[in-house]
Amino acid sequence: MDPLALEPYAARLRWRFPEAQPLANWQALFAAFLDELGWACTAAGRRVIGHIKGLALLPGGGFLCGSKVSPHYPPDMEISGATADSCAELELDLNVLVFGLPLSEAGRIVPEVGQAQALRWGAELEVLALPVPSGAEGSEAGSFSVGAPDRSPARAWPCRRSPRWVRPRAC
Amino acid sequence: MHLLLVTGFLGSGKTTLVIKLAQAATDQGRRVAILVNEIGEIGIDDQLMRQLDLNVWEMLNGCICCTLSADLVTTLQTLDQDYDADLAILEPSGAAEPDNILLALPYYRGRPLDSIRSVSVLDPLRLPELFEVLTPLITKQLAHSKLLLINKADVTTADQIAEARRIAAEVNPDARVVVLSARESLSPQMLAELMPWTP
Repeated sequence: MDPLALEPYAARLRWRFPEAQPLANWQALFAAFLDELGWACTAAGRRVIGHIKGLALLPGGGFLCGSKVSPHYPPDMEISGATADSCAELELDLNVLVFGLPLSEAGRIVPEVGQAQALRWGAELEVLALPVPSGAEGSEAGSFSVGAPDRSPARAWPCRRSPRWVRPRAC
Repeated sequence: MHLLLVTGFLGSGKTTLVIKLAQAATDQGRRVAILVNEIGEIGIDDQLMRQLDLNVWEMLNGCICCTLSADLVTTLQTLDQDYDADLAILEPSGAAEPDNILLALPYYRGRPLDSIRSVSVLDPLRLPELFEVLTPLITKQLAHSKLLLINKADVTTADQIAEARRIAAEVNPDARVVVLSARESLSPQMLAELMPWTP
């Protein structure tokens, strides 16, 4: 694999506790998960984290998000707009962008690290099908639909393709 | 419609800056549209921005500096014709090459843009490593803009900022360099520079 190649990996992870947990616990869990993931993704070979970013929408509104950009720095975590104090289940959308990390390896590491954290925290983890994006669209036009996982071939980044654009039709 | 291009490597703080700018422009009564191009199969930034009641147009499954450049042009035209945006903030993916994005703009057929501005965001915590390992991409991102923002001033040391300044000056000696923390409030001078109507 080209050491500079970027094979984006994404997953939706459902975490479930037997009882509702304060949001501070959720934040600590996701911070520990992102932190461990950062180390695991860069453990072998010369790899560089672009970012490992996760977002969980909170029940009733608001979100919990986190970003890990280097194994040497803790993840940056934020809770915003929360209306509930606690919950028993959250879904974490995760994008893993690590230069030099093959997609297949990311697909192995993420569930492994997630399961280890779930065990440590007394939670259950389920890896869900990914939402299928529908291209460019505005907020007012709705969001993507949920369907079968998109397993299209990995793309190489940064871009090495020639720019392509189409002339709009003349009025 | 003014167009503001916010570039920078993954994790440099582009999204945080874009949110701050969009909220400031909205507070000033302006109609703001954000175009987000993310790498990956799940759009996280756009979900986050929607949670903050910002109007987001996401472009997934490609890169606006190459495979999605046609989509960028048509989306800009839609924003001009149907949404009547005062400001379109374009946040390319952190792996995009900014110059290629600007190459698509001559194909835009909407009303003439009032202004086109560009800013590059740098992460001083990682810039030395990224510059060494991903030299071509980082060089292009630094060389592109006349305004370079060294972000994360709240969590960096003076030495790290000095090193980021040195690299920025080496690649783009003509650029103006500003140190800030996009997480904190933006100065009136910065808002005026990036949003031209600001008094």
